[in-house]
Amino acid sequence: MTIFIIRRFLLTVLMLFLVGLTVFMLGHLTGDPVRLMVPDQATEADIERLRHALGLDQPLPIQFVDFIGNAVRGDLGTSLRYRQPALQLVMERMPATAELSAAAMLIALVVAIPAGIISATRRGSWIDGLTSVVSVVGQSLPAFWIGIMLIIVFAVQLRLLPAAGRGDPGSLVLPALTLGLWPMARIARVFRSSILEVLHEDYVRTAYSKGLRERVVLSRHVLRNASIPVVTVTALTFGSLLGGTIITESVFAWPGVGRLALEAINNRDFPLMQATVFVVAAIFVVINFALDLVYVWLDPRIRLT
Amino acid sequence: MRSKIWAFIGLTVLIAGACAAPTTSAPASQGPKLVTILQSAEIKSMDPSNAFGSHEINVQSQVFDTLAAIDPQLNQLPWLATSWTMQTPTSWQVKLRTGVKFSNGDPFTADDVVASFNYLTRKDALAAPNFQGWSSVDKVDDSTVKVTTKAPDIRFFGELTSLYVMPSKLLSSGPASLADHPVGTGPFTLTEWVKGERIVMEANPNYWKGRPKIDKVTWKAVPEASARIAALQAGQADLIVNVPPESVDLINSGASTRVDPAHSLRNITLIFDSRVKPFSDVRVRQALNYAIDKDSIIKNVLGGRGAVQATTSYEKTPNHNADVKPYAYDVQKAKDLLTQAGYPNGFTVEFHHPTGRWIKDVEVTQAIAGMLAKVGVQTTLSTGEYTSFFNTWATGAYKGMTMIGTLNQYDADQVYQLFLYSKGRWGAYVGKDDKLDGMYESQNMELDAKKREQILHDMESYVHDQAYWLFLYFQDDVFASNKKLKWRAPSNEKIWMLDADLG
Repeated sequence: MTIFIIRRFLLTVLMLFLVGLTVFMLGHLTGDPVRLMVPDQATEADIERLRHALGLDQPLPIQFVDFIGNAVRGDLGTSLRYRQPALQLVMERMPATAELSAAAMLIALVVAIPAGIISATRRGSWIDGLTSVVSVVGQSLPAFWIGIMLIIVFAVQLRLLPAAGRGDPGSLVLPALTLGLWPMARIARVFRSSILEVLHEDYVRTAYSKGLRERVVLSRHVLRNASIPVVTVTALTFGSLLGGTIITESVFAWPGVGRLALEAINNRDFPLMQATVFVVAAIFVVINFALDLVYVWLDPRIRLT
Repeated sequence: MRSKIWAFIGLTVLIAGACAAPTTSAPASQGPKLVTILQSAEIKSMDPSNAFGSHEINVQSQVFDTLAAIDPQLNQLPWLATSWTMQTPTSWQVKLRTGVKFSNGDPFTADDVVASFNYLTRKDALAAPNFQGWSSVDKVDDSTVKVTTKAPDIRFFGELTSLYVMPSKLLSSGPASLADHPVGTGPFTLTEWVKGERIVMEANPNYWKGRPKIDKVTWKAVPEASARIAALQAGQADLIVNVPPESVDLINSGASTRVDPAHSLRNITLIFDSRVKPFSDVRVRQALNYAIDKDSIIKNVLGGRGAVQATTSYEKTPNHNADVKPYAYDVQKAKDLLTQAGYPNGFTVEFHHPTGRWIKDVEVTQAIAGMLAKVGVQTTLSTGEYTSFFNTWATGAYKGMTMIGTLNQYDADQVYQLFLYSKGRWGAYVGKDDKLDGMYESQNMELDAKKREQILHDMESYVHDQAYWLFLYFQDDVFASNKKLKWRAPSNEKIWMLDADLG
């Protein structure tokens, strides 16, 4: 277990370093933001002065070494636009994203789990057909279209919910629905096929032949064994939702990490871009780690070495 | 089946539970007058020294006043300064308004102007380049300051409109707090700021021009145009910015919503690389000007929201030459000119443009490429995301022609300083034109307003004839609002709330 954690930790450090290098190089490839920041009247001398004040006139390798050196000490730099610590800005946005992701995941699970079970056990029934259609549609419709449709129906026509922004509790419903549709469809499909697979196992046949009722077979033998892929999909999807969902957050003006990342990219705000990616990568790693632990609990045959 | 039903009930409860939520703005005929404004980008800082784009200036200028102001109809007005007189070619006396107070109760004096100037021009301030012409501001007495300029400063008014006044006490003790807790003399005072969500400001009861009629203004950022429109239609917003042309009819057909277009100073133009062939030949540049049907582009691509450009400045820009007429759409003439220039079969040329920066920029580019093809000019389109596009353009590296938009509000000479004067910031594309440089330099030193106006008129007609640009159009700024909102849609992208009303 200890070896597992140490190895995982070292891999994480290596991964964060590579992520940092990639983001740094990609960001700097298209030039710095100084020309966009100054007013039209600025002279080349003004631009150079500001570039120097922001430390953007240093050679790239030196900027990168500085960045990594500071990152090791927990300092991800100061946002060029906000002039505030970048890490603090990302963490300020985390609650909004976490709230939205959790609500979306809740909606997804509440619908997907029963839908998966029913469509697997009543294979070929109209409910199974409906679930398949909804799953395909849910996975293929773009979030911005669904978002706008929901806004038009619930905010403009019915006037039931706010069209955009975060504030009153109602403002969470439409973005969470929009965001939840995709994981909902995905989890339902994965759960369905996973249950179908388990239903063909010998031990399930044995359980039926013992005369157990369907309900008992399902809850004791099938669902627990069929849930491993579902846990994986759920956790990984949740991880990517926590990374901020650029489209949903933009459509609904939701002040989360995704929108912050988009703005950072548009503004060439390098420290903020790097901080966002770092935090998201770190979350992903933690979730992956937690997932490994959950596997052990779900299936004692799996061992961490 | 039962689980399915439960899932359904859960979802319904979730939606229904939220239905009780109140809408964000409730403009009632009685009670406080609340206005919610949706812009497309978020406010980072309330510090005027680091304003970034018009969306930030819009919010900051409700709280801070400047020494002079330009109203939505582009009238130039004295503001916290009541008058300014030139005493020597490089020194001005500026008289300040008396009896004005900051929202924290401090009186406004000359000390605040001096401290604000020093703060706005510090090393890493984004606003510093706005004050290139000024070297110092000194206090004469409590209501007078002396401005010393580096050279005769014919753009003095422009600098006055950039000088946001902040309290000197705050600037000496803790300017950092300004970014979050602004204190100004403006029509509104900031009362709540939930970062990323909303900025709320209330009318300043002691405003020197009288208390604004609107009691409370809430600013939010909604980046998606369709979401802004939906919020307006749902009554959750009273004013929105950047309405795309295809949504105009939809909004106008709404019972309570209306589109408010304003001719804008934002001119969209193609700048030729006149240094080398084929655009070093004036006949080629003119030919391309004749080859483009500007009216058709405005009508068919921009939904009628724009004004054809004749020369470098807008009709309301000071010193604009109204006698210059736009190039007509004349394909035959274009072909003749190309033949005379030695290109009877046309040529192929690079055409650089950004994507998503100006209204329908990509569609306009494609329309132009199609029209140019009719006179034999083939274009190689090169699209770029704005930052990288602009960074490359600024180095002078683009060949062929480039789509550029610029704002030209204080004076007709502004675009010359940037784009057409060979020593200007992006003047390289013109090549060398001694006559134009000479005219620019002489108007820059000319202190007689009449004579200077004449030089600028000559410059505008000269540049029209020389066709250094492919003159296109001034794009309209399209706002939309709740029909009950009385306000003036601005031509300079600046939202004025101090004289707005609801009801």
